[in-house]
Amino acid sequence: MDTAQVTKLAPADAHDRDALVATMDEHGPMLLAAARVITLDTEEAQDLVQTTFEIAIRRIDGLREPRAMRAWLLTIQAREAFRVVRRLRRLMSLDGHVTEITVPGADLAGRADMRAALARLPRRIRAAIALHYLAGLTVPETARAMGVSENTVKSQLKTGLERLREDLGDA
Amino acid sequence: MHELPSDATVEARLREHLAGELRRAETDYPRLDVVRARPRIRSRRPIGVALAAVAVLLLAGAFVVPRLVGPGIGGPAAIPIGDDGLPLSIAGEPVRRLDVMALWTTDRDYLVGGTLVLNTGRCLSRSERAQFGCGEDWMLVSGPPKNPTASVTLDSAPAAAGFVRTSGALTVIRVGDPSPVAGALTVTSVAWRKPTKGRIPDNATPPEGGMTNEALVPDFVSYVGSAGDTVLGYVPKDYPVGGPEPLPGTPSDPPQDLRIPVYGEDLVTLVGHDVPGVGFVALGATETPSPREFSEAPATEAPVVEAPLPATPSPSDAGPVLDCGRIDPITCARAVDLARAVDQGEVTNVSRIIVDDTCPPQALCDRLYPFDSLVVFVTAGADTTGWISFSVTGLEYNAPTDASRYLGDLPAHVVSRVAASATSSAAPFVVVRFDVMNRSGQAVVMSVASDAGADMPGFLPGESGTVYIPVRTAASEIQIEVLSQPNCVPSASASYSLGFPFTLLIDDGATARWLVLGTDPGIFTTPKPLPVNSVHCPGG
Repeated sequence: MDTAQVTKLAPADAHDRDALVATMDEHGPMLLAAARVITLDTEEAQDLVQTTFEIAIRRIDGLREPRAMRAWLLTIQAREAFRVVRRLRRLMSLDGHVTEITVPGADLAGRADMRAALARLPRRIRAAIALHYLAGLTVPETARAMGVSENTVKSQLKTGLERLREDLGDA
Repeated sequence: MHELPSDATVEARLREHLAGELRRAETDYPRLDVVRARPRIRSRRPIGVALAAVAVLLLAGAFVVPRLVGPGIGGPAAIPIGDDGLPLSIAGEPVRRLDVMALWTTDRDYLVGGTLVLNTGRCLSRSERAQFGCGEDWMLVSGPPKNPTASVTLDSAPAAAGFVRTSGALTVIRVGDPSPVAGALTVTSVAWRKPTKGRIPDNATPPEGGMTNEALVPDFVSYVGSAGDTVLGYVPKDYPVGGPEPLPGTPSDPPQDLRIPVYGEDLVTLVGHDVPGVGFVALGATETPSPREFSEAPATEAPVVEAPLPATPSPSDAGPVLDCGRIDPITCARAVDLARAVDQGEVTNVSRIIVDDTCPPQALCDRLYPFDSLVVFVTAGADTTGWISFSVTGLEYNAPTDASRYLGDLPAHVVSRVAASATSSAAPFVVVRFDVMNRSGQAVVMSVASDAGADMPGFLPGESGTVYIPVRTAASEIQIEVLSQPNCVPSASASYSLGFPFTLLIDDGATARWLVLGTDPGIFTTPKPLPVNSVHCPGG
């Protein structure tokens, strides 16, 4: 998970808007997972994914490198996650209620600990973690997606892991 | 004593957890239709529908961008307006008034005017919203919306052509066939409407928190200057509520924030822009840095001073000098408090504190948070190695809430300020503290102003808290005015010198509505965060 994955879209299809739009759906689960980690709220996460798609669809003509669609979508989502509409909804996100769906074989207790620890992190550190460790963006890609310097991302990831380490040690 | 897990263990557990999150999302994503079908406060298409529908639109070479309509839809210049602000006729067709509707109850296909109002009484509980979503009752009323002389429920209003989800707008609707809903009018289209403007009302956000009801937000939201007391213009509500969309880009050329247009009183004339990291820039003016803020800050988001401070410096004991850069002094002081709380031991014995926005001045910069600042504590040596820095952020403009150590490289515009401060003898601000106890039976807002800043914290009966206020001149006084709720009536005022610590006492006066101010020498042992409540007055 060190580099952004390339979508299945062939270069020959680069100007096929229909194909591009259809391709977006393939990234839905990744966007949803990242949105949940960032927002800690099921509804807000779904709203965020939907908003991301709506913006992406409107702006798809501006996607100059279709093979980088996933990183492009994550960039839009990361930016959108911190826009004003999100801050107005933050009281919902503070609830942090996430619908549990059992995944076979999952360590639920461990996940709960980790989820609680993640919830205690600042939102932008969670965003950096989601983009880097979940979506697999490199540090430079994460920095570009979040609109900050690489050093800032490194600092956020380092701080995030340190806090998780302390939290999990106390659990 | 617990043994901390190793870094590798934590990272492995994190990756495992995130992989589980991804599997869960892969399971959930195809099933999202159930959730999407629920009514939403924001009328967005479900994801799947959006993908399909927009593909068609793209093929047609066009797409629909939601827009707020400008004043006088339907050609205001050609429409005669009556004393009630509604058109007398549109294209020769008379516009009927709601309070004489009984004359035409059997008619169909006609125009009627009034104020479009959202009935928000139907969905009060959060659980109800979560389970069923909230229905919307749109009504047309004549006279003042809070005390109408006539009203009628509208059927199918949101589906009508030209409908805009803004409550309170003077509107002319076209009525179609009789509605199956008793006593209701079927709306087929909106023929004319006058956009609304002003502040976001308190009831737009539920007191218990949750989504802002955009229908209650005016079409154009007041935009105020850095002092917070002058309306410079109005911004379309899509910006403060919906947020501007990013420009197209790629990962190597990421989207940037749009400038936010600011319109004049007529809501048509462009008077300037809100530029990210700069603030208001009048049309044709050079972008010069200045603090900025929207006029709107939900009352539930009152900033909290969380940190215990060392004895707050009074002007006479010369504490660290605060250089706030483009941050307003009150916000700046709170940011410093938050930063201090992160690492109390590291931030003693500092001579200067430099605070500034993370974005360089005179540059477009996409900040992650509406409030995103750096706070640098400079040691007595005051060289560029003798400092410790913190990132202080907030989800509201001018409302810092989170602080953490900043380990990255300081941006050049902050480094230059740190270096400049080492040789500067100017003392921009000193922050002073006093405490407040509201012992009266009234909810009050205290307007406090110094020669360098102002603040308006609210206190419910029995509440207390610590106020920080920057001053430029040690000999200056602070002016305090206490406004009682619910109408923000001035009920007491006084001026105080700053030479000694004190607690301001607010007590009931001999007459209802009047309050008495007094002081008690001394302050709380530990600074007390300002109360979080919904008590506020315009400008606060």
